[in-house]
Amino acid sequence: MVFEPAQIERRVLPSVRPMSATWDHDEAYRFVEELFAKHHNEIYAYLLRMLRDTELAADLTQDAFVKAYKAYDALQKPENARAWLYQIAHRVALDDLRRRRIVRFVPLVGEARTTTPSAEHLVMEARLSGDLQRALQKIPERQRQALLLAELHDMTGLELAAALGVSHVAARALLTRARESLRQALAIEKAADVQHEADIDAARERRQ
Amino acid sequence: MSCTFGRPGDNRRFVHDSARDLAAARLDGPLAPEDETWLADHLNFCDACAAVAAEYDAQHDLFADLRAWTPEPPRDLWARTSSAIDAERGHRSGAARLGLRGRAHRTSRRLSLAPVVAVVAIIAVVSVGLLKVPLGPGGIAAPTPIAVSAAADLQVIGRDSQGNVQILSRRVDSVCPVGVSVCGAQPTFDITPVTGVASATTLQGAISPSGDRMVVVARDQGGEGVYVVPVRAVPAAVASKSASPVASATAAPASSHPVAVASTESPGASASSAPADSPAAASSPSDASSSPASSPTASATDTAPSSTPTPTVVPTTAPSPMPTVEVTPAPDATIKIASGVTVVGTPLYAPDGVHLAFAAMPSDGGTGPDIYVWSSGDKTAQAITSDHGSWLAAWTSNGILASRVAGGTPATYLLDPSTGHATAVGDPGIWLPALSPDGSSAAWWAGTVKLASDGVTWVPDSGKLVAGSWPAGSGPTPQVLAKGSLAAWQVRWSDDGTAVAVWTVAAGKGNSGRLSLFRVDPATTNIDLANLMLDPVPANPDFSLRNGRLAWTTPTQGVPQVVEVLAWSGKTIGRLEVPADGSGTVVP
Repeated sequence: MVFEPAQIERRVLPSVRPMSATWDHDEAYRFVEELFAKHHNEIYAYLLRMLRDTELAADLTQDAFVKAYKAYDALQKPENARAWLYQIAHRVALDDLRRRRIVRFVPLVGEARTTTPSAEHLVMEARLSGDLQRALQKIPERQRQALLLAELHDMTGLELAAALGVSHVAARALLTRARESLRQALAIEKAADVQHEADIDAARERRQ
Repeated sequence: MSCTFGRPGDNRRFVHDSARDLAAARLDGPLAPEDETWLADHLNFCDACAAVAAEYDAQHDLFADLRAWTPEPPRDLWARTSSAIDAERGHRSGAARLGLRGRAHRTSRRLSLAPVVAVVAIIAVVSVGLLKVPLGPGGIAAPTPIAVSAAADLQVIGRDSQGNVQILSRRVDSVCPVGVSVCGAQPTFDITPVTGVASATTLQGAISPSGDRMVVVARDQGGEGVYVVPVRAVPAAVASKSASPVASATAAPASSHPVAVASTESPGASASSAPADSPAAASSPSDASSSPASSPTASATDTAPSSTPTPTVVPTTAPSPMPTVEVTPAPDATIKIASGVTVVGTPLYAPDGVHLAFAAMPSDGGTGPDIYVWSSGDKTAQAITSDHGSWLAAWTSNGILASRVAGGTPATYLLDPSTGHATAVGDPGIWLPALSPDGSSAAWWAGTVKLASDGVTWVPDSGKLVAGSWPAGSGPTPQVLAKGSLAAWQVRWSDDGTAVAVWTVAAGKGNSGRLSLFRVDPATTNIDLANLMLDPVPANPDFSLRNGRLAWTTPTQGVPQVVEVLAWSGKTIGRLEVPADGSGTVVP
């Protein structure tokens, strides 16, 4: 058999993968291996931003790719693989948190689950303004997910819809609501900042 | 201008809501032209909505810092993930079909790497993918190891966390049935610290035919050093893992002292002639001795006093008759045979294990490569060519095969390792033949070559990678192994000539190529291209094919390397995975 690089690429990650009732474990493995090479950094980043726990993010990244392997047959269109991965990662994170009786995400904000902040955590904290942290904490989890996927992972349109598991129209509506929720939450934070500054000034004047 | 919001239910409220929705939506994709126009008009007269739209726009900037931040996942994440996938496979092993290429099974989610702080800290978990797996009752693979005979030791050259060079060896003698993580096949490790080799960013090695010596190319910013390092054989039954280099050395059954004794480097990369009494010098051709002063000939190496009470080994300088040099440097000494060079390709030991050849050019890249030969007992390697355009291809029983480009056409020559005298071999257009062990077959690039971007080295241009009888033209039409736009390739034959591994990389893909393994009919030397022993897999260029096993590393894009081994005995083929925390290099 003569092989050429292009053919090899196709064997590793076929653009059109035949569906079958009994899927090929080797093909699934290679597929996930390729997905991992392409997307593990961003999936890890996504989970870390959502969970703020480096070890947990790594564990759940691993779990997400294992689930991708197990659910290989469920992926109808390989071109949706990235969004599909995000959907799996989000679900894996939710399942894990529910299992641990942690009711909601603490994305980007709040106390980290680890007692000692990791270096990654500190870097992340330093890159977020306090207002944005607090504002994000106040918007619904689903809206936050849509916003993070759009703002930090460059997802738009159909890909965002696929990652959220909703229709294109619903995804866009969700994102629009998210932006409005964040805008209002930021306004509250800014108002609180203004009030806080005023309180400080008033206290300073009283001391004088 | 300004506008006011109406009461709920008022259609003016609906208008402003629509404007805000569109102002938010335009951040995530273009609006329809009519919506864009309508929104622009609305924002022109509605200050409140314009302010909201500005706030939406500002949201994007708020995420800018976080968007630019890309946290780095753990280096072993792929190793953990692949093991977890294999665990999942294991659960399904009752239905495991023949032909499944299994991988390591590790139950621990968080891999605890070996206490040895090795760059290639091996945590080997044996698993097997079998083409022909012995099955137990009910078709379930029996949880007993499968012996793999005649498999040669696997060596990896790498660094520990302190940057110290070390050799990790493993004897591949048994594997587990598919889907079974524990089958009695205990991982066997042997870690040999190597002193006397300067720190390096990358390492490359080649093992001698007898397996007791290794040539190590240590690459650093300042060029490369070429060393010959003694290698301790791996005891077949060793199942212990060294806790530290010291422990490794002291626990070594064959030696009560550190295996490698430091030798001081000669100052600089000074060009030096071989000792007058050395075999190479005695028979060195005039063209070799007339190499330009800038040519990076080897530097002499002295042996430093050992800090241990063990005997200090001094490389012998006694004259050694050609062609057989019986006296070698002291068995426990690392010697530096060249410095200030950039080695091109892989160093190759002669079948006799006494002579070693490599192609190297000055580390400043001023000229192309020449062929250097080192003989056991010599202090330094000596250039046997001075054309600055010779590439090492193979050893034969008659000398060294090297390829050169003359008038833009590649050609291959047989070089006398003593004199450097060149005799054309085969037809023009043959580039870098890789010979089978008995020399009756070879794989080579048939076509044209072109100058690489450095202006001194050559890369494949148009043509194809073929295999056939050697010398070329002496048998049937060569078989085509690969064609297309190849940037590089490597072909290696098993010791018994019954298997051939082919690594190719397409132009523009760096070193991230694909490795395949084929069976060779020993009677006809025909390569079975239709039924691969190993379908193309991602692999780095350094791989090792010895009797009974193929070993390679996988390009991992930031994930620790995984040393994979395909071992076989007869028709039974097993696959071994050795996750590694670092960037060790498989020694061919």
